[in-house]
Amino acid sequence: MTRLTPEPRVVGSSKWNPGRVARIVVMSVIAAAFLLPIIGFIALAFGSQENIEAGRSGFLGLAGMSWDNIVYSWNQITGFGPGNGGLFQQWMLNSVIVAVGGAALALIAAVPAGYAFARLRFRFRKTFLMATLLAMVMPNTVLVIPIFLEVSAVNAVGQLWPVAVIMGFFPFGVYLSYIHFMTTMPHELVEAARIDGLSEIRTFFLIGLPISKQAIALVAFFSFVANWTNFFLPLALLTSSQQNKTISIGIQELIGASPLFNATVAAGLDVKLYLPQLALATVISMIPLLVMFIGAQRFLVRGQTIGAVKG
Amino acid sequence: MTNQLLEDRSATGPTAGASRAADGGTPPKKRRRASWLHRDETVGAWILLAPYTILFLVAAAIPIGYAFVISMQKAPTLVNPKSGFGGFDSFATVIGDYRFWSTFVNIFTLMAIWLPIMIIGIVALALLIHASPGRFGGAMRFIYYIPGALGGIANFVLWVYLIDPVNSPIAFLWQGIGASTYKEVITPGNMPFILTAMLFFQGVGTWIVVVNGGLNGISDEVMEAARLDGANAWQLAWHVKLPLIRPWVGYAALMNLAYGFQLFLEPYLLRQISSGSVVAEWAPTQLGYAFAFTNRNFPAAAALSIILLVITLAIGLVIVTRSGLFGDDRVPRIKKKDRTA
Amino acid sequence: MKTRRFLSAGVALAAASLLLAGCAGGGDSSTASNQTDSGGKITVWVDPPRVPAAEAFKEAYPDIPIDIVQIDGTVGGQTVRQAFANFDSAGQGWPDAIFFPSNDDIAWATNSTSNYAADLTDLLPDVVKGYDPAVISFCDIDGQIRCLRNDAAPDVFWYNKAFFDEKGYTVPTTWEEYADLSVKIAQENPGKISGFLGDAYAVNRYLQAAGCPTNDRVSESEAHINMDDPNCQRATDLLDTMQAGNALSTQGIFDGDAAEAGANLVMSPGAVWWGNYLFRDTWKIPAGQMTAVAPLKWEGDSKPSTGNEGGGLWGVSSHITGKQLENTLTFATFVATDPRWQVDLSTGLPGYGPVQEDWLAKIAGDAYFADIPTTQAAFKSALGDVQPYSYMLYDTGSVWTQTVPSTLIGGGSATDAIKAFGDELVNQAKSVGYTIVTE
Repeated sequence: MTRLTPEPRVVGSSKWNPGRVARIVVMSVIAAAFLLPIIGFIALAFGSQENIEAGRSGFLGLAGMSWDNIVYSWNQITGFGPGNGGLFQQWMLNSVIVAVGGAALALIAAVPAGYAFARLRFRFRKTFLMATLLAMVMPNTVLVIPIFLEVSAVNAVGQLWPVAVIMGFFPFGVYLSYIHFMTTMPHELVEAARIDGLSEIRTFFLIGLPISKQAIALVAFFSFVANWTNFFLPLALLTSSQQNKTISIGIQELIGASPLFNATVAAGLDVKLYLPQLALATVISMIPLLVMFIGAQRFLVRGQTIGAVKG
Repeated sequence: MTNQLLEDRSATGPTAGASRAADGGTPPKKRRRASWLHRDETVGAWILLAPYTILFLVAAAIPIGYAFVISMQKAPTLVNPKSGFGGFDSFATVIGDYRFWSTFVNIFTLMAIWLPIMIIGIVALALLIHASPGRFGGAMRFIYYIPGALGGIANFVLWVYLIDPVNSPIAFLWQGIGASTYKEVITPGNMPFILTAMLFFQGVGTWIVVVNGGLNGISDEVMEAARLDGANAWQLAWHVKLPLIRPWVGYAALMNLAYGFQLFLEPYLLRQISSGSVVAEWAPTQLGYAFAFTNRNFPAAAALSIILLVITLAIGLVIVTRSGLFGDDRVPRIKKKDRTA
Repeated sequence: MKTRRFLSAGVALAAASLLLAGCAGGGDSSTASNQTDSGGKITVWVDPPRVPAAEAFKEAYPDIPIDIVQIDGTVGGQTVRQAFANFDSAGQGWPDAIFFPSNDDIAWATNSTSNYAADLTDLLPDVVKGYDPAVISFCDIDGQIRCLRNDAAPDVFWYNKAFFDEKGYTVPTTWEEYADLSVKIAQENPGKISGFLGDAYAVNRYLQAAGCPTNDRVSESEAHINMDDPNCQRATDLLDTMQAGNALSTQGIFDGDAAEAGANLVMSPGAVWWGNYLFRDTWKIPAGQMTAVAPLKWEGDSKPSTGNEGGGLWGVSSHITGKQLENTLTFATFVATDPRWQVDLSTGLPGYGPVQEDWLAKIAGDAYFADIPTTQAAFKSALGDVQPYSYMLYDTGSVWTQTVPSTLIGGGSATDAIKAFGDELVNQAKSVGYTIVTE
């Protein structure tokens, strides 16, 4: 599906030549290959198992969509759990708690740390920065088992707070705010503050912090997204407590209770979780990300200024 | 997978516009300062760094140290519940385990298929987008990025829908290989291909944006000069753009390589939806999980974590020191791959 | 060089964290000696099909405060094991009673490192006495009764009576006849199948029934596994014949997409609970078709010989005492013996003897099976024909699901598949720490 290069022979020309047409066709076909599954998936969330089995859903399931299906599927998802269900909402709430808590910690830690790395001189600065970069490019899954052992040593497995604390460690956020202060806060400003007799801490709070809205928004956004989608860490730390699961591992439990994959377990359930229900649960679980994305969009689009200033 | 800015990152390339003055705490010219002032600065720095330092210790340094300590212990296994100091026995247990090499063979097989496709896909699509300035290019970049916005488990559920051999929009593919059940699609032989498709779909958009950022950093003069020399689009892409974005491509390759070693969610859940027909320990991380929770051999689990840590740390060191993207005097905006398992 | 400085700092950091870790990682092994008492409140873990049992208890004993947690019921799933690994290392957090999702779970739950499951021999002597020794034998670990069986799950021989009557086939009585007939049926009625190989219980259905030593506990650290045993050979030959004759499905009975294959099942050994649970509730096969007869014999044997598929186990925590223990025992007694669950709600034949007759009588009322008296008799007689089988720390069922179906789908023969199964089984048993003996 991938072509090494576009065909065009002439560049900069707005004429419709074969090369340009080929490029646009190739790119559009690939775009369709990316987009159609997602459209079909969202349509699936609006669909019903009966229609799908009967083949009545039409192209990509678009013909089988209805609001009634959503209501039915919502009742199935929220009915999951002992008693009257409600686990799904609990899991969403837990995810909000750890993702927001983790993002808040990440902010508290990352913004001042980025400032210190960017504008202060101290021993081990480079070493610590290097370790931060390494931690940033290292996939965090490799540390999960050691983290589990650590949390287990303090008897906190199954609780939400250790998950939020671990998520608060967000070296990418430090790097982001490091770049931010590097590019937006001239040294002269720091020097001037020093001459005025401001302490380093006050300089940060009075001068650095007010100009870091951009960095704060970016760190908060990226950290929230990373926390929300994290799977292995909650899996290792929260599996033993059904009430304390996050939505990412909760959806895994829903998959495990689906008649599609575990017919006999599902036969013992009041709720029936077929693909439309799983798709709806997934789509709902993405809504907070969407909200964050819309909220942070202004800053994301302006993010280029961080890089551009120093050019 | 969404840790990526969506905007143009113009003039942030390592090859262009790299700022000289961007070096860390040391301003361009040396300054003489009273030592008490300097000490003030150090104290202030560490106070500002305190929250981060604590988190760094709790979430990285202590777990690594603790894992090292545990890996040196003798495993109180379910069958022989005696503990004590075991030296490097756990490492021997891990490497001697009959699944150890097969998990790495699995990962390398996947890499052999996935990485080239991924890299070619990233570069080709980034070049295509760069050759399409204006609204169309921007729209395409946004569309390619969308699948990356689905986090790990969401992408997986999407693929559950796509793998469905009866109702999926690509069911004809599965029926073409003679499969009519999930189990017949998700066979050990198909695993690398399914994972390749999943990871490509999820990851390529993010990296297109990164590499595209590099392309945008190429200065207009360079492009103009090449055009004046009569280079056509193909020559421009191959001889001018590609060499200039090599650091980014290398960075993408290494980050994806490191990512491969920590694969967990996808093989773990593929086993679940194929009624257990995929081995439980397909990837090294799954083997670590099995050591910890099935065998209850925490020393072996810790030892395996350390082995994986050393591998990814080595890759990380290469990225940080050799890619040219983290050099002290040029600080382009790059991304953290992600924190999703 | 910055790299060197980084490394030296890294070593210092690691050394510091070693010290910290040393302080944190002191004593970890917890023992059952510190039993706790909540004063009465109990927490029980049940898989989704057993939630009604816990709900029925709540209704019957409104005075006992109870927390019902629904757990992942996947047979061979890892989440419960993982949770218990957490609890055992933390020394707290265990549920007071649990329905083990896999029967294999009893192996780690009674192992000396975990020691979760309490010895019920003296705690519930009357309940234990109510079980047929063959039924409770799965809970008998070194002479102690460590669990209660929810339902007895011996394999009977199921067949579709409507189909057999229509086509004029004779129901087989030996395993060899079963194999031959299955091939004949598959030839004459393409698409009709006589067995499933893709689920974890296929091990019990065929290998256990043949007396093949896959799960033979010699001692806590020794396992007897020998796939070259003639008993394994006869099972392999049987499956080879059937597989070559297209009489088997590579799907498993638990597969979500197995309903279609299930509708084409004409005969198979299968557990008692297949009747209601699979045929009626999951696959929705119409009433008046499926029916059971006594298990098959191997040619030359005088007695039938059969496997056992699950038949869930209830465990009680060894970490509790006082009122909490008392209430938990009330719970365990209720779910194991009370007709309000065992007869009125449970889909499986009760393991507890005194309520079996009532449950069997209920079958007549349901009028689902084609030949009810024969089915009832088959259910009872099969109890005594189950071959010995110990639940071990290695997961025989998972080894089966990850080797056999994939080998067969990949075009291998049943012999190849069982060879792959045996190799993997020995590897896994060694990996858990067993010494393998072949005698």
